Amino acid sequence: MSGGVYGGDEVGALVFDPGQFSLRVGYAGEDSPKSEIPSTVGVSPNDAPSGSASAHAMETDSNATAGATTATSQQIGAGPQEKNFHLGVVALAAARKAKETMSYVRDGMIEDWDVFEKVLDHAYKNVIQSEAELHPVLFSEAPWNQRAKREKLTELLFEKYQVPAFFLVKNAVLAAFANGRSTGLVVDSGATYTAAVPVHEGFVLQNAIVKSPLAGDYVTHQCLNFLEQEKKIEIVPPYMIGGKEEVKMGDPPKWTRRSNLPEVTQSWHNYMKRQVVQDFQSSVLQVSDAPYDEDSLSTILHYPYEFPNGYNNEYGMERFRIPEALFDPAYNKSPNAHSMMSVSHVVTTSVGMCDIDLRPALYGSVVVTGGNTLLQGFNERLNRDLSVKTPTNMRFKLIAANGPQERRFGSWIGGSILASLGSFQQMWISKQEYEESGKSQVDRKCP
Amino acid sequence: MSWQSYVDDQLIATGMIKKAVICGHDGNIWAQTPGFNVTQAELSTLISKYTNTEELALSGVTIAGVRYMFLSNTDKVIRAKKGTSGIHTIKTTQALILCVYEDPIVPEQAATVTEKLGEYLISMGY
Repeated sequence: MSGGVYGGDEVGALVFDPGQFSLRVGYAGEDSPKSEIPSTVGVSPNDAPSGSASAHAMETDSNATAGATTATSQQIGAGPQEKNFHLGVVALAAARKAKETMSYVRDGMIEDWDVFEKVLDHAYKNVIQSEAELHPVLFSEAPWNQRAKREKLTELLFEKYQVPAFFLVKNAVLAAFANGRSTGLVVDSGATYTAAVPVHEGFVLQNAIVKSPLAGDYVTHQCLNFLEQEKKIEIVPPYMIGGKEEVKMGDPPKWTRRSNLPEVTQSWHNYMKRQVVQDFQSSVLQVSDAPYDEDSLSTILHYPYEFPNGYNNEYGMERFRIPEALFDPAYNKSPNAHSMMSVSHVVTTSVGMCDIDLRPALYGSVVVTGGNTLLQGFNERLNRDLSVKTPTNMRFKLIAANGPQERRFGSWIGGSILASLGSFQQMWISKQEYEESGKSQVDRKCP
Repeated sequence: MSWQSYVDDQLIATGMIKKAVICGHDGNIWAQTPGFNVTQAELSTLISKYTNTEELALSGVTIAGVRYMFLSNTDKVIRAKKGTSGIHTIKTTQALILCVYEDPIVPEQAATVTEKLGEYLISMGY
């Protein structure tokens, strides 16, 4: 079952790391999650008569596993059978009539609990493939998660899934652990936000968290604007393409539309389009290692990219100009740009709000994590910007895991290490404790 | 039950708390562990800035001459830490319970003990 990579005690604990972009699920002690389930889900109305709806093949039949584990708990939401949910990468990507996309996460926190339950059911049934009551569960949460949501999650896990033990840790703390630190400043640049979170001895200093919306989704949005409005390129998601021919660079694409496509919704089409842009973003963009300067960058090599419909072209300066906005808000074209802070500014502001005795330790281990930091050159640039801004009497060190997997799944890996440590086993909130003290136990045991 | 027996039997006896003090909202000490050199001035300073997160974050919490780094607070609870030891406090209707824990006890264990007593006192009208 578990590789026991970290040599920890074997309790078969599960680690869930819900993020804005995806939910990472897997066994503690392993070096990467078993599965990454998109936080975006497809929802389509169920056309079948409501009485026989459950008999129809649903892509994730919520009752199959839930039936066994929730015998004593209530089904939340009156009509779980009224809609079909399409969860997971494959089901989500299938073109289907009237399938809308939506996300159950907002601002890093779980917002739509009914959908979230569907996703958990899906995770237990298709990823873990085991009974929920056999495995202790460690969850990560956003550092600014609200008390009501933490208690609700605790309640859900104990009451519906009957887990034997549960624990909740801030994802920034886990990211620091994954890099071998218990004190440090965690820079988490994910899909919707870039946040600087100071962590002291495994505790998040809540008052000094600084967030900025300049992150992955913002870059995607800028790319989309650039491609569609500046370059007038039609972005065609792969699902529409029946066939294509090779064309010369810059020539209009020659492709044929796939026949018998169902009538898809706009939200789903946009989702698929964004995936194309995200691929463009991850393969073409690069952060300039010094402040953006047209003259010095004009000599740089152009980079070819081919879109799914066969259109291809080379991209030069744009590769650097788009992500530059992350580091220099002067390149930011959105209307409320003045309220956004560059990545290095986010870091220095956050440190400035901490106890003066703590600042050297924070600058001494700045931990970088999150999917957006995988942009080529992101770390090098942050390193450069922060070296300049660090007070002269302090030592600055940037810590980033080497592999892209380690950075993308940083907080999941931290959870995997933590939950398999022998010394952690006394920390769990056990089912017994939950029954004695109720859901507020989570506020005492999980800071 | 006297306040001293709350300190001795409910806090220290659990083995999770090293030193503890219970005081009124004016900082007057009602009961404390023998040899715990916390002063009334320190306690009243702490109570005066109890929910002032920014102030706490920058200046920390000083108890018995030791400056602890502030971690987090709510309207009732303050957590602070220095190295492997730390303090956990809970404010009840009329009193403040302050507990010091040391390695190998972890903050969560101390928090459970402290808050349990605190919530009991609140439920009793103290």
